[in-house]
Amino acid sequence: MTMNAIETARSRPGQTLLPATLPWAAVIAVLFILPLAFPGTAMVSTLNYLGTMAIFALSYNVLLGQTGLLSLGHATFFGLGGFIATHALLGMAEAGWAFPLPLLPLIGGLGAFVLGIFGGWLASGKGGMPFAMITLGLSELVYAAAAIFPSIYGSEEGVSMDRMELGSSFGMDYGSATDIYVIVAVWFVICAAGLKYFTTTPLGLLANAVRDNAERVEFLGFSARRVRMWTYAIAAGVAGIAGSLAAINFEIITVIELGAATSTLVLLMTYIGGTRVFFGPVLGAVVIGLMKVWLSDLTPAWMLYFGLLFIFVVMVAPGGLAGILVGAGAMIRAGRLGPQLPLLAAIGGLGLLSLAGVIMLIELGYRAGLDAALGSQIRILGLPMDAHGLNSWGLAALLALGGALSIRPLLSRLETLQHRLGLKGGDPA
Amino acid sequence: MSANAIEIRDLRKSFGPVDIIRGVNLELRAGERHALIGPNGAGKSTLFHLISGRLRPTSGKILLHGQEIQGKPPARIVHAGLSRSFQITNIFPEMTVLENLRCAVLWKLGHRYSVLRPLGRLRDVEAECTRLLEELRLTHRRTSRADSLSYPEQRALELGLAVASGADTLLLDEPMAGMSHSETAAALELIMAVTEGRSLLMVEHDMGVIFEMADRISVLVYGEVIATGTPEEIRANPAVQEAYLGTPNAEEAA
Amino acid sequence: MGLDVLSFSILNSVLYGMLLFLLASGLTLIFSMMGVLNFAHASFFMVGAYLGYELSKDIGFFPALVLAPLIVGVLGALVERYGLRRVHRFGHLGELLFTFGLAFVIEEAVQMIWGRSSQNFGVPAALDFTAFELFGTGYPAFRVFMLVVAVAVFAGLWLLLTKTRVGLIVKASLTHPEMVSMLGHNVPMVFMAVFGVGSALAGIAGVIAGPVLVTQPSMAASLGPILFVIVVVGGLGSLSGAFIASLIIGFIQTFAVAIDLSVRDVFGWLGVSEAPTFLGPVFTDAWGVSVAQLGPVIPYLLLVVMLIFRPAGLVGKRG
Repeated sequence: MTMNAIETARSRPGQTLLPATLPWAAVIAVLFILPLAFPGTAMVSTLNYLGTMAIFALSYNVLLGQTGLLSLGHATFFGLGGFIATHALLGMAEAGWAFPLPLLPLIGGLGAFVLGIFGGWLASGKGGMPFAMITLGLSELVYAAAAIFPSIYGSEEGVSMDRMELGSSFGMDYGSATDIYVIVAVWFVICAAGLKYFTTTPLGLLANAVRDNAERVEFLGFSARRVRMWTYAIAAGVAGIAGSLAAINFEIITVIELGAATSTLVLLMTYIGGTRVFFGPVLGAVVIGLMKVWLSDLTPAWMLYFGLLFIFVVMVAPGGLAGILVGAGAMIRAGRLGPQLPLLAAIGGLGLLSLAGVIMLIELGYRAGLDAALGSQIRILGLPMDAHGLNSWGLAALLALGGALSIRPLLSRLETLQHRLGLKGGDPA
Repeated sequence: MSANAIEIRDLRKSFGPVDIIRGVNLELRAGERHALIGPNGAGKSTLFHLISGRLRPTSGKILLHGQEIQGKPPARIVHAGLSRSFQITNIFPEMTVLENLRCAVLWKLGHRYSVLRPLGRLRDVEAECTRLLEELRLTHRRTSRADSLSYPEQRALELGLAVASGADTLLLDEPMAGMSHSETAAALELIMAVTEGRSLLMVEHDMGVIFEMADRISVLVYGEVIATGTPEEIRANPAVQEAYLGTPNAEEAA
Repeated sequence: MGLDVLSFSILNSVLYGMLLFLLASGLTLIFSMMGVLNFAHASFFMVGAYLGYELSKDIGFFPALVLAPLIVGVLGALVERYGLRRVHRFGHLGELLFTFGLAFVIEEAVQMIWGRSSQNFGVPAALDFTAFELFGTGYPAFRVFMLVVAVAVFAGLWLLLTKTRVGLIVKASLTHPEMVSMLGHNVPMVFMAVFGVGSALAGIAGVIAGPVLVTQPSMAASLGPILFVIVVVGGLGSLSGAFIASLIIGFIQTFAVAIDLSVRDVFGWLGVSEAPTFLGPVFTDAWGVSVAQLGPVIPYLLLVVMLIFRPAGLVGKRG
């Protein structure tokens, strides 16, 4: 039995042990527990940010994972959604309307959806490279237009708002981060459930078909362009909801939110998390989001780690973190993990050593270069090291290279073992 | 409605200075099984691409039930009632067999691009897919990924995608290419069963298969149809023997 | 616009266009051989600039002009051998994402080594004089030198593509991708060489552009998208298309800065001097839009319009 067969066997109705609603109950339970487990405004703000990015990444995966489209400008709709929501709030507050704040993302999302139909109509004539290039061009256009229209995008510092201006509703005044958490959590459940539902509909299935073989879709009577256009619009709308939530959370929206850096961020989050498992992008958003929040305090090199992690996933585990987890889960259930454990543990140990070496090299590099002004003495992973000392560099290089080189024979042994267990290659059973 | 499912009139296609299809005239009668034969490079696949909308003809007309379809996009031609299979297997490799078939029946059952109900609740889709799986003998593979099927199974699915769209006119491009002798026999039986009552135009190389199943045969040589007729007529046609079969006794030689 | 500004703008447009073509030619070669649109191409350009700066401090500008591109070329070859070749089995998306991640990592690594601010990569003393005067304004010798280098590189590249066996096949593969298979068992070797040479071309562009453009960590990110505009507008896989598009972009970007004109001026000629306020603040914004502001937008507008109406590009044959 191949991995593929294991995967598809999981989705067989009536044969799964867990009812379909159980994961959702778990999601809701986790959302309830999180703010209790991590109290405090700073922590809850971080949770709000993660929730926002998780929605954003889920929306991106409608394109990347479900329809096989590489968009280089998805942040356009995140940012535009945020601007639309912000201007809507400012306008309604000025007019004195009583509009409940939690519904504001609906406006941002609808606005982004409408713009997404237009953008999708332009971008979706072809998939692949032309699609990537048009989305790049469109997003650069919108970004460049920001400098021309300061009355919409604000000047350099963006457009700010006071989320309490719309007044109280649903028993909350929205002053505290916890109130915002409730909004983000509810919208997360709505968006995730909606997108999950979307995968089960005819259009959702056709999106997969376009990903696998766009030409054949045409010969079944469908227009691949229309499928792309609608998935693009749906992804845009959900990204607009995420952008609105970000605006509400930070009470400010800037052009950075719709720029290339944000588009890159969501691509990396989604891919690292895993595009072929529904909650993969959520995992990616949480891991990368936490790296961004916590690692940026610990080290100046966090962006570099982030990029290296991405390359690692692209080269070694294209299924992403979720792909690794699902694969491991399937192996455990098939009872095939046991024989591999000693080898896997050895590889993991050596990998950690190698990783420690890489971290040392990078940290030493930063201390020798960018942060030379802080002095050459530095503690890395608990060890005192010297950015000008040959010993420190030598140790780091030894760990990094030695670890990597000694892994290679183990990897080929693992492959042989997996062949013998019938996990990889060969003909399907 | 015209008695002909397909009528091709003086169809031409050139790629730059090279003429591939040079004035083809062909009729596919309603309900008949019609084989298209010809040597390699005669333009059989190009002709199929022109009829099915993958390529635009340089000039000429293609009528489907009397309605002009030349130069229309593939999807429109499917709506007009013609669907096709491909010589090189052209399925959705990362989707299951069931999902492949679901895609193929969505248009004819009127669900199109709907997001109103999940597929699992669309009873007509489920019923139709179950019937097709049964017919294609793929029921035991319904949740297998398409790329994990054996070659004959993939060919059956390829055929299934063409049949499932509900078109009454079918173009099959070498549906038995690359199969062993025993597989060919089973595939032929399957094709005869699923295309029952439809008009069928089929490219095939295996003379035994052609003479067994075809009501009529057309011979395409260098972009022109040099003869059309019953198997017996074609067998006896001296022009065909010379241009295509090479020697009068080529069938025995092959 | 005076005649002096006009002639200097034309000179600078051609120069900038040639610089862009140095980059776009490598990108095109790599794309037509391997089918990969290399996101890290502009990053190799940046590494070339930084290496040129670092090496010219120790060994002088001219030796650096030779050495830095060589290092960048080797770097490119290594990236192909140990990175790109491994992800090849995951298809084009994998390759695309790999180069995307690489661009990200290179930008961070450059910041790690050289810091976030710009480097003082000056024009070498030997070329720091006025080449000629036109309408009483001098034109710097270094810019003339850049032009000479670019032309020399193209001449060399042309010889390589027309006089060597591998070069001929590479050239043929520009129009006939199936030619690549004619290389037989040497394909991996040729891929590596093409990637290396393409990167080295970007390296040369980096060294000669470093002193004129600013050598800073954002130079790759700001140039990368423009390169894509060029290869797509020119037609993916077409060297002549890339050349024309490079010049077009060179002219657009140079003249956009040189032309001092805004919407307000245009309406001024028509006798409308103030923005009609009843149309709202957005129109007041649009009123102040100048050609210089539109300059950066035009290439992307060109890209989108081109992809929608003529996806094969100006000269390209592949849709």
